[in-house]
Amino acid sequence: MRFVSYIALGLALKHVFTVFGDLTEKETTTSELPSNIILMEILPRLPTKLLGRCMCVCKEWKSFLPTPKFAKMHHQYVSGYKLFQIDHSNDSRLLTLHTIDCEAPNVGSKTVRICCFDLSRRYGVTTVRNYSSLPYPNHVLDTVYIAASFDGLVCLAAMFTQELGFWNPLTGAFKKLAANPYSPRFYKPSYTQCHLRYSPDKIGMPPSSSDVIGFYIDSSDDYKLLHMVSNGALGAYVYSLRMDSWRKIEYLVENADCISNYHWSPATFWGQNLYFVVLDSSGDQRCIICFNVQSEKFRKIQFPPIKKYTSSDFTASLVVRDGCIHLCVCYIRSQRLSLLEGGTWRMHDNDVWLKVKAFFNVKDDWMVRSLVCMTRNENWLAIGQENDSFKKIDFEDFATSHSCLCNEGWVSNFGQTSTIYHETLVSL
Amino acid sequence: MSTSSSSSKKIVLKSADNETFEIDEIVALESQAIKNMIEDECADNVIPLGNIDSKTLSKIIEYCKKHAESPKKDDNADIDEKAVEDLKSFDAEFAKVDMPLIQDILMAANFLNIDNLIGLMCRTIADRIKGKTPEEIRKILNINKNDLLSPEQEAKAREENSWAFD
Repeated sequence: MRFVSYIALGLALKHVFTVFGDLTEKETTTSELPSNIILMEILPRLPTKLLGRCMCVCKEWKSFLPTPKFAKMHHQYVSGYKLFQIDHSNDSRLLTLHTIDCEAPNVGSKTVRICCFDLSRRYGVTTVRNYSSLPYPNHVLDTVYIAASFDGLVCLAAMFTQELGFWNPLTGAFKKLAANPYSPRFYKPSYTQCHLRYSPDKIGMPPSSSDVIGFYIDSSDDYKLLHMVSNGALGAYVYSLRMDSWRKIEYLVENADCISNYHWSPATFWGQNLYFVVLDSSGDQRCIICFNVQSEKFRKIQFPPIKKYTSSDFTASLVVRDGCIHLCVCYIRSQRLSLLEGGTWRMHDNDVWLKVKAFFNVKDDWMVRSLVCMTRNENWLAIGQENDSFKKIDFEDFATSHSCLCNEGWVSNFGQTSTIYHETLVSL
Repeated sequence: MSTSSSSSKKIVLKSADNETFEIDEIVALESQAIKNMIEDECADNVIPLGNIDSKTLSKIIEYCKKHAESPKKDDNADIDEKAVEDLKSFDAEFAKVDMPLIQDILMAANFLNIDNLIGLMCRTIADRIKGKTPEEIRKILNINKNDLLSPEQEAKAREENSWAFD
């Protein structure tokens, strides 16, 4: 008995020492590690929350951690994603943020709701866990949409004031972008920012005349936007964060009506290119538009051959996997029998598609839900109808998982009011 | 298949404290630096490693041996899960050493250019500073005293990043 209590005392004392941070020699390095190893190899492996603490460690870290260069390195180790959503439907205007851990072995169908707070001053609550509220007054907030998201930054579009802004939801850093002098009518929220999905109730709606936005980083670590304007000053413009200015670029997509009469998917940035899936509203005409951010030239890539189908209910997404762009397509083969068909193609050099996965006659219920695909960590995610649920599905088991997703009532309004991002300390 | 290991070329390494280690060439090839030397035919004699002591070097050889023996990922698309698990648990055990030794292994792995080992050591260090305060992190990593923030700057940084402290 006495022996046991000595052990307990010993453990308790050890605990006390740990609490007081009495680090022994065995727990510390004997000399300084080379700074490049710390900055390039150790810090990128830390969770974002710890990086916030690392901002207080020394000057070198404090200046390096908020750079795009670091964000890029950190990106490859990040496992937790956040879902950011602006809810316009609710009077109390809830801004919700959810965590999504793509690495978790058993991803359930429910997110952890880390915070759910009210932006409206009348309820007196503006922040939870010190997430900054959106930097807009209430009457503007009602018209704020998400235009794009990249590297932990969210590009917000305020319709009321016709402004674009970059916002880091983690740090609260915000920058209002200079207005585009070439385009008097600045920006219009678009259906194109929705994930591509044409459900029966949308048929018959006029084609949305809307702008297209792509968010990327160039080789000099400058954050940029590609903005294709649909109305008035039709054309393409590039914004540079470093210069805080817009430039008109040559707009070489063959048909000028490509913007106004077609639906554009959110951009997928890979290598030096932004890729968009472009469909007409019936889904009959389709292509991929590739924008090379270096040469600032557009290029049209043909879809892989897909059998003719009768329904316009068609989903197409681009994901990056194994260093290649993949196109994932899903459509209804038979509305009457509720059967889905689709597949995945990998793009090789010279824009050649190689079929890597196909599925046929997968049972679906009448209301087909759309998928939201995530490229990082090779996982796919879908956001639930209520935006408080998500699901990880296996790329290889696309067919079976898709059908199980469909049964759970998935629908996507992705892009307009919600986005998935990973947290970074990037400053603006 | 197995004839290679018995008849394979040997490489001799000499540590800072003049201990020599004879290892199979295949094991030495885990080090990109030694691989380059072999390719340039500069590895016929003893390779002196004046900045690596014998304790560190024997750990490194232990690591390289294990990894050289394990099936490589690109050899075969479906290597058995067990080999992967086995290597994982070896790595986990391997990293259970004191910080000064981790630092020595990391520096040596960096010198010898053994990518996986650099990664393992950095991951280990990252794991050991998880949940620590800035003061503790400074101590653990021996951060240069000349690079510290002033008390005012630090208070401001804490304030700005208060989300990281709850």
